[in-house]
Amino acid sequence: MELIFRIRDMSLTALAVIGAAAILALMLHIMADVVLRNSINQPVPATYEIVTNYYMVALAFVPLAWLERTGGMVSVEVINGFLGPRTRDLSDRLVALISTVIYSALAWVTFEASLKTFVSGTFVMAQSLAIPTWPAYFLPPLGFALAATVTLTRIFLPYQQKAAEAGAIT
Amino acid sequence: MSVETGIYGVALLFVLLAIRIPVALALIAVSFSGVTFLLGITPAVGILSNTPFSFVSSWTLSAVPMFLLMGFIAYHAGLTGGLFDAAKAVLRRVPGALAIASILACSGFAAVCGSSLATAAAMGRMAVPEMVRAGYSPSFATGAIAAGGTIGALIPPSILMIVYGVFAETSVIKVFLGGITIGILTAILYSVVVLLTSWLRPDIAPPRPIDAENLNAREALTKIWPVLLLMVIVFGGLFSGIFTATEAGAVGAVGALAIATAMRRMTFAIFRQALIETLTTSASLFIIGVGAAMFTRFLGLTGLTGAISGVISGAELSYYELMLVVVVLYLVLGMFMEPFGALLITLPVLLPIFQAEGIDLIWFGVLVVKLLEIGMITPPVGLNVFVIRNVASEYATVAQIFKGVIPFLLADLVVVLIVILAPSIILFLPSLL
Repeated sequence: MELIFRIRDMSLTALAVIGAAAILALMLHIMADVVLRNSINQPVPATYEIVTNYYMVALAFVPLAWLERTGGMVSVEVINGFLGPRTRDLSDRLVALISTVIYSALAWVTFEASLKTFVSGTFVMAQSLAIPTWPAYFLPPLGFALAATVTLTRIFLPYQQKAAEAGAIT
Repeated sequence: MSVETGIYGVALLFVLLAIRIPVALALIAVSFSGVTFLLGITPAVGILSNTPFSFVSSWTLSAVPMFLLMGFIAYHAGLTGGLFDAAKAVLRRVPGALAIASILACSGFAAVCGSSLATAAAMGRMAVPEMVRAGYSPSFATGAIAAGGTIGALIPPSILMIVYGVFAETSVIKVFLGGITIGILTAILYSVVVLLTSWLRPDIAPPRPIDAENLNAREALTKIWPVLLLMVIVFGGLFSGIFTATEAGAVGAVGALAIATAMRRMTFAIFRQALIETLTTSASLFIIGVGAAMFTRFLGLTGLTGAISGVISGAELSYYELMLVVVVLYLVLGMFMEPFGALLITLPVLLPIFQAEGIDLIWFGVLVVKLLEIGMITPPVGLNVFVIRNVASEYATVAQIFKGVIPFLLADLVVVLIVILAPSIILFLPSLL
């Protein structure tokens, strides 16, 4: 059991690493484009297309499962103070169950959409360069499916959520 | 009646939020089931299946992770440490100098950081211990920094303003320019609060100047070069047209990294921490955005926003009555929700109404960000207060910090009043562009 948890946590960390890599690639790609455009008037081809279709999509969806594990998802903490330990546990399981249903539905729906783009070989044109974008369409269903597995395990094994401020963003 | 479906949808949303379903998932669930109810499953899948991809693959939104990264690097690498010293040195003869200096330092930090939590955390760690040592009441000291942190999201760059700009389809730069005015206005009024307090209640805010013979103003000012350099890089390049507002984030992040490395402040641990916080914030924000985009489609189909719009124009609410509704709405939401959730849940309803009423969306963006930031310091869920509690836990309890925030909340209400009474103050800078 211990080993399974370790493997799970390592895989989730790997997802975060992919997301972080997307952030760095985004930074370097735009920076290179700005520098080359202004110095030798030669922008990096397809910057816009790759940033929007690949980096952004990767950093938004791949880390979702990791986010579910680390308590980064934002929720409204109004009734927290009124919950006893037992109702709290039940409520955690209920949230996990509903989240699993929603993630699974999302995974299924976006997977259907990505299959369509795969069949048609969707691409975008950047000047004369054809950038295939269909592989990126598989990232949302992948992210949602992984998140669903994390919330699914939480139905049976709820863990202590971090304090309210852990879910805070900016 | 599809308007009724819309009303049920909104009600269901609040039920899901109340039972602690994450904001993003609640929005997605309501939108999906709502559209399915209205049109059937196949059209619902057709309409909504592309939204996650199409919302996130946005060029403008790519500025969000970049500005976050820049702010987190500046914070963790301590690029802004000199700000507080410089403000202290300049203000040392003013009554309440320490508190005013920390509010000024918050404003300076705000220019390289788009997040109010990071601003509050950075200044809280630095300024609270010093203020308490100088005789400020811990409650007032922590309250001042919790409030001062909200300036972080007002003075550009501002993550909230970028997200607003994307949803309202307005110019992010123009909202930024309006943010400069409201940020400075807020800082001035907060300083007035400190001055008044040190005059009326010397027991909680000692009026005596900083006894700092060793503080050389010129020397202290030279220490703020990392922040100034970063500001010059980002805003200089932005306004001279070398790069766009969206690209400015990436340039700023590289700039922060380079400056931190040059100062020998960059370690792998800091780099890792900044990346993790950037990733957590971006991903949790974007998925809420996906939910809000779906919710917008759902509400559009129900015609609910049109109906509310009709009721409002039928009720012939005056501008001030309408604003009163907006202010109360956001103050109440701000008590319980974090700002992105509150913003993205309300914009789908409010934007069409405001467009119909002919209200300037740049001005409204500035106002709404200010209102959301007030929510960061109001109980029971005031995230800035929680952050200060975390970084200065030995000085004050959450209740004491909330108490210390009260005079600054009054100043905030004055700012809101000024913005509503005289919109032209906010719109002056954007109109120059």
